[in-house]
Amino acid sequence: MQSSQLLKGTFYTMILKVLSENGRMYGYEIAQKVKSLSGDEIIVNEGSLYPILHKMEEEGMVIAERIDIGNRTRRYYTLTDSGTERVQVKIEEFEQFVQVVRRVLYPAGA
Amino acid sequence: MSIQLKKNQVAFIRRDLEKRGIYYSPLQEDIVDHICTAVEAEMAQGVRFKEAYKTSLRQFYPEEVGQIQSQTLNHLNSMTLLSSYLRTAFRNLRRHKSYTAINLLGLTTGLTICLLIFLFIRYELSYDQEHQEKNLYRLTATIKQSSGQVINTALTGAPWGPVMVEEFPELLDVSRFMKYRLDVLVAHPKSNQSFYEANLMWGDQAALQFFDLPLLEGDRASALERPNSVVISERTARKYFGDGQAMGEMLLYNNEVELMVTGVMRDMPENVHFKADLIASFNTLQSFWGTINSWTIQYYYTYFNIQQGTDIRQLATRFPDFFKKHIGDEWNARRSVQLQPVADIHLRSNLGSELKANTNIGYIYLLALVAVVILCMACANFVNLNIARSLNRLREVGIRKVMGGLRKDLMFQFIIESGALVILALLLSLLAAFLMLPYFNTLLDKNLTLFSEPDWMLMAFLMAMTLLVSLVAGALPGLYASKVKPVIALKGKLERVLGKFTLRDGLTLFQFSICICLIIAVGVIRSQQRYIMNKDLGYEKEQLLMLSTNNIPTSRLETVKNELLQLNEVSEVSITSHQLAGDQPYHSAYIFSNAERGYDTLLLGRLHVDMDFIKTYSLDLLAGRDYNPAITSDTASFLINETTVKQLGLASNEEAVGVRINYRAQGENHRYMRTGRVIGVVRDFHFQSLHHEVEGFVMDIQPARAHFIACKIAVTNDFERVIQSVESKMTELVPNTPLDYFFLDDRLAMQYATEAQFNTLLSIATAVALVVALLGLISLVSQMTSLRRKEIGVRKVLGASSQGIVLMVSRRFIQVILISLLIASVAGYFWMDGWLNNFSNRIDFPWYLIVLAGALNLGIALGVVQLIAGRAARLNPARTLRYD
Repeated sequence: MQSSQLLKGTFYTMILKVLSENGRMYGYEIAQKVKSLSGDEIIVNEGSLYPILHKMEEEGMVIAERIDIGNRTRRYYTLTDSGTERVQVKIEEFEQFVQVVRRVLYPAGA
Repeated sequence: MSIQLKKNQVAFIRRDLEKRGIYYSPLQEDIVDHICTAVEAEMAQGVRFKEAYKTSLRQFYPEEVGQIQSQTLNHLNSMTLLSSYLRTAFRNLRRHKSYTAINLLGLTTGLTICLLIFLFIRYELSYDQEHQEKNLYRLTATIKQSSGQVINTALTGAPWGPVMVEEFPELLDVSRFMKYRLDVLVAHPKSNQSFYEANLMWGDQAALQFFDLPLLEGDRASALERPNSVVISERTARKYFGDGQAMGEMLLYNNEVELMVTGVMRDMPENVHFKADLIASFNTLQSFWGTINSWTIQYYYTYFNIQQGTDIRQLATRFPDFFKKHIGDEWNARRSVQLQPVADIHLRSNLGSELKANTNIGYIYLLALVAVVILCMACANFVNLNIARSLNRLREVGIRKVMGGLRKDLMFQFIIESGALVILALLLSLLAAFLMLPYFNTLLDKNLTLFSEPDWMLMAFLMAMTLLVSLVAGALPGLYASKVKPVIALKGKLERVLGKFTLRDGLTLFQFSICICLIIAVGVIRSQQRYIMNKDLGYEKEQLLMLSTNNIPTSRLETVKNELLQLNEVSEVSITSHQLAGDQPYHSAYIFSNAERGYDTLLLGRLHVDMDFIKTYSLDLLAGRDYNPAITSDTASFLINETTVKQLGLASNEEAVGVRINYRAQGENHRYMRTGRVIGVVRDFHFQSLHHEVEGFVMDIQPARAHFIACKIAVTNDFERVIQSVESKMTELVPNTPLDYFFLDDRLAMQYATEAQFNTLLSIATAVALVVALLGLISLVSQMTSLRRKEIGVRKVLGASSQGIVLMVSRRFIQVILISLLIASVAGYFWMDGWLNNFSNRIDFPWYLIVLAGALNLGIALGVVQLIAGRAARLNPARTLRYD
């Protein structure tokens, strides 16, 4: 299922959702989480993960904390209040989208 | 098993990612962490580090990793980027502590002194700038003496101005001032209070408009219209009337002239070329001031408001005809008048009888230059350190340069980092300037303020400085670094970048030339000051206590003098017309008649004394005799000085004795002829400050001109006791009046206050320049030793001693400093020799100063080299060589 155009559009929502359920996480952790939740089906491409995280930070959806973990600095991401609100909106958006697609793919009146 | 990467492994990964184009700091942290975590996971499976890294990287992003950065940055807006760059900059500054400390210290001291000098200069430039919409000029006069000496004076005749306005249509309006040269007594009879006023001026009604003096009470359009009116400052009003009503109150001038308060004005600011606490109406003078209608007596200040667009030079050419018409053509032979813009008075005017001590525009230029130079020195250090740092990084990431990615990033990062540092330094220097301002003000006797009101000019100045310094210091290293060939950078060889003479040599040369030059300047100014303070003035200025005769009735003067002589502490007493410290001489035309040579008229200085003048001031009598009370005709006899003898063209001083003198003296209300003979010639003495040449002087006895009582003090210490006994004696003789006294040598020192002030500023600036140069040297030597670390190690292994290595490092510095000594000596000589020419009495250029300045700078430089290079030389070569 890798790298389909379809998936890319949903990364933003997935990352938000994962963060909303797990609290503070760092990049690697988020990638692993998505991977394990999807039963290794979805690999969040890092080329998408980090640009999205940094965009979210700029938008104020998440805040990043720099924590010294001994040999390096690790950036932990946490949802902000507006990020938390956004999760629900994004999920509803996604479901509407799926329903619309469904209607097109399986027309009811056939 | 959990594995944690070693620090150098993390650093390796970070560097490698940087080479691959990941340097945007927040992203770099993320990706470094991500890959490290992945590598650690791999290594936990038993894979070796290098292998694990390769796998993780491939897994992480199969294509070119650098693309992640461009993707991320494309998503973000510029504010986020800027703030992140700033944060990185501060993090870097924290990481490179010594770099930051040296730069911050250098920039802060440099900027602080610049800021203070800026405030000082701006204040000096602000004098009389508030009347821009008017075209104000002051009338000045030049008097040519028969000796060829030229006297430039601000004093003009009282009737000139109003008549000139009638005859020259370009002159729109006139205003005159008169200020008596001594303090005057003003009393408020109702409350029985009296004070000596130093700043009472007589002025025309127009003065209030000319100089925009704001009245808090009274009508500005008419307050000085009528005779016997006076406008007083708020402070003066409080002094006389407390909180009570001032308007309409009667003040008494000199116990004879009544003045009614018709206005209260705001206290005058300092930045005006005159200071008035009271302005009495000029037309009051008609009633009691005898010479007010004289066309030839110059004792008044005349100002004109001139039609805009008038050709001033052309206007001035028509003045001689005016004087020919009103006084006679002979007047024009010796005298002329000029027009001078009022806005130029403070900085470009140095006439006799200025209303306030002016500043020389040359000092202002010089201070500005010094400020700029110090700032340049601080910038140069900054640039140098940045170049060193950028080259260090170049060495690390030389490959990237080959790949072409470095130049823009590096430059941008340096500009941001420099900007952050400069802003930090600026804030610190603002704080420093703010804290130092009170001391600075005391030192310079000024009242400068920092941000006491919204100050756009200062803001603009600060912004410009910040921008300039950060651009220069940030962009230069970037440009420089980008010029360096990658191979050279890789090998860390940067010495030969600019050929044999390196940028660093240039830096040292520049900084030390400036320092040596400034030290020479300060030394010369100090020596000249010391010379002036100790110069033989032709009389003994020490031990002279001067009393003002202000409050003593003329009839009692003789009694007072005799009573004072009775005191144990007083050995001689003399009554004179002048204090010989800062006052302007009177001039009169003296007609000398001599049997063989006929008549000879000379314009000479006038000094009125009594019989004890020579004794009290310890003057040298060169020919003839002193006054003798036993000879009654002596009250009409004259003493002259040597210069007068020369001006008369006589062969010897003895020849002058017995020559007859006629001159028109000014009595209470009329002029009369005085006639007498010269009885003695005294050695030249300095009447005015040493800026002036000694003029010809004539002394005679005129009790009406008694203004000062000079007391020669018999004791050499415990002046308190002297003052006490003089004071109690005076209270006994003239009750209810404050004693108005000063010591002559103190007053004499005040004549050189401008030079003293300037020298103080220059000394501070020199100290700052030295500190900045020292910081520069410290960073240079540290860089040099760290660059040649390996070489030093090898030399030590081969048997060089520590001292030999220090010598090797210092050789270059010594050469450069010797060259700068040469440059600075030549520049310093021409500069300071020119400055000394401002004095009629100057020292020879003190050559030893060059040796001293050179030795001082060389000593300091060698000390620094010894300290830093010595430490490097003592390091164990086994350690230095292992590095890398």
